[in-house]
Amino acid sequence: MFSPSLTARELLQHLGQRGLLDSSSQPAVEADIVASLEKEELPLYLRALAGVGAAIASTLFLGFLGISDLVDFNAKTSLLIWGTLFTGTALFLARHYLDNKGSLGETFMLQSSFCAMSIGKTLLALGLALVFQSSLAGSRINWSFTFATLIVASVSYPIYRLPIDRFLSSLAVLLSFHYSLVSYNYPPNPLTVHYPLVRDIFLIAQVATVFFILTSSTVKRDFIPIAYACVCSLCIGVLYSNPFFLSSIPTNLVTNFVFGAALIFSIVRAVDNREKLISEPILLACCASAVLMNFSLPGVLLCLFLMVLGYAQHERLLTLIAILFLPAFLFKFYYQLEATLLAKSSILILSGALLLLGASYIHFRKLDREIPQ
Amino acid sequence: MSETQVNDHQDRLQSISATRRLVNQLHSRGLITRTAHTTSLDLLFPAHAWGLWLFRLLLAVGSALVLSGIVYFFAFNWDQIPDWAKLAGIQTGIAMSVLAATYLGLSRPSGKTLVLVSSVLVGVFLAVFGQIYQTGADAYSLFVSWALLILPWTLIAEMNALWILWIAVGNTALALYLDELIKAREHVFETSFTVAGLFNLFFLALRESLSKKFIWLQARWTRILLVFVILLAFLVPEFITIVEPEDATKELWVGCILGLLLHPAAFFYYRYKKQDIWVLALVALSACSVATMACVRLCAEVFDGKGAPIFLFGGCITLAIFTVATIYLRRISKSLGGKSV
Repeated sequence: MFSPSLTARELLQHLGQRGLLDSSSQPAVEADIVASLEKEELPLYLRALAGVGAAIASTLFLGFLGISDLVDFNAKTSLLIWGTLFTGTALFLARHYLDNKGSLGETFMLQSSFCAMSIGKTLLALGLALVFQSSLAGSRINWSFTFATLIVASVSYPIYRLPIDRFLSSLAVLLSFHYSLVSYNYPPNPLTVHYPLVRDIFLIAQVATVFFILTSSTVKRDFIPIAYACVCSLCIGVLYSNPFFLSSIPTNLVTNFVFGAALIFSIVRAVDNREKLISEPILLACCASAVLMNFSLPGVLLCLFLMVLGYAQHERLLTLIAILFLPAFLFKFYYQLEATLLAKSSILILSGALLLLGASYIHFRKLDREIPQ
Repeated sequence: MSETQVNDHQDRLQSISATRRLVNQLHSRGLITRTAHTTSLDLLFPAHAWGLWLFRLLLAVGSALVLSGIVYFFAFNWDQIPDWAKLAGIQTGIAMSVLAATYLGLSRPSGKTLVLVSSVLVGVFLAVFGQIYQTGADAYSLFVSWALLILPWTLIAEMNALWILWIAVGNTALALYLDELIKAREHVFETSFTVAGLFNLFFLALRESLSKKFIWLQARWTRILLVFVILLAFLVPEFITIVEPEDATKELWVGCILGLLLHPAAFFYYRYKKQDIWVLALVALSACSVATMACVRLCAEVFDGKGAPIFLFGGCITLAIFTVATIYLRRISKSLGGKSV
């Protein structure tokens, strides 16, 4: 409906018909396409099903380890040893079964591998957190845990190739960092003393990561889980942060600026032709985004950024996340006490009016005509 | 390459979707020229496709924000605005939306959006009316009135989002009514989830039976959303009954049995009749959750409440259940080959 759905074969045929792909280079192009997508990824719903199962199983096994006293959760040595054992088992199973072709035994081993890796990483992170806490005198457990998850995730990322595991590990690091930053910290450390600056750098880094990974053609698909982890972290951060007002104007402006700039970059990136870039609709879209970033809300700008990027990059999951995020944000926003409902309603109505103005412009310029069938 | 290999190769290419990422990768590796790159992207994203998509995005998000702003405004209950002005303002909004929708026509997205706006404003009107006149009516009566008043528009608008709004209003009315009953009578809590599940099941059945006649009903997301809500509603009596079967009331048992029967029924319907893999995945997830809970409960009985073996065997059984489900669903997915009705 919104754009033609072409297969790789049809696309190559179109290019061949227009003389843009000669017969001598076509085999190389075809081989490259097939090779880059050779490893059959499970569809999203199957990954979700397998993920839920492994998550439940991991929780039960961790419970078993705790109740049976096999693992002493207060002793770093015990945690590190068992963590290493589980992680090693997971890697062993993965090496043999990660390219599974769908048999019962292979799928069971793969799920067991994911389960073992979840348990192993949890134990290793807890163990390392205790090590850091005892070696860095006075450091709080939350920061120790954050650094521990970062180390565990970084080391396992290139070795364990399961996308759902990479996503969850990356998300755990980001959420742990976010939590450590906002929770009560005493004694203060350099990161929390300069909290606003660190928070803004963290925000910019996540947005830049999402944009770079999803738009760059040189970045491998292996890093896509990191992009989605950043997206989820951004959504959760916006949902649970204080979006404004008076006492934190600088905070809100920076957040708005970052998301607004990201939206503009997405629009620009989606236009591949330099002549089209200076056309009236694109310039107006960028100007409207710039206006929106001055008074609108971080949640609205983030939603628009994710939707435009998701559509431009064919990432439907990104669009779905944005669609689910917006009502959650509006619901949470209603209950935030930092401003009156009157002030909130003004911002929403003004933001909405600007977007409707944009829709009217597109309609009156006849840019929204259906694709002829 | 042999002929068979060539055919397999072409079939493989036919199964791979052309995306922006694919085109950019080919270009970055020097396999296609800049002109071919631009032409490919023009084929994938024609200019009017962007325009149409952006128009609908801005219309949807803009309307959602304006409507939310209006709801927030009236929730603020500003004393400086006289009551007559509040009611008149909302009524004017409803009238103007309806007139504009009539002018634009219900075949256009903007016309449909205006009907949705009017429907939401009706709810705002009833809430403000109740605020001003303090009629003492039960909370659920506001939502029942809302649902009744917007039903004619919902029937003629042919808009999925409006139907979902109507069903959400209906669910809210039902939940508030049951909440009132719970205070007055026994065992209503146990029945409430079953009633909610059956209420939404009715609408799902309506959607499935009418979707061949009314094309606009065929949007998949409405089916997935309704199935999700129904399965979630029945999960509660199922879980409670499984965990505490001796203490479960008759109402909970009825809900549990109905819920359990729903799974195979939904599975067969969406496997052989409608062939919707996403719904099958939801059904599988729900079934696996119930099966896992039942097995853990059984382990608790067998091991006489000892924690360690319960957790150990529970974990193993969970892995086995979800593995079987994943394999089976994968095979179904391959046999369906991307089809869905």
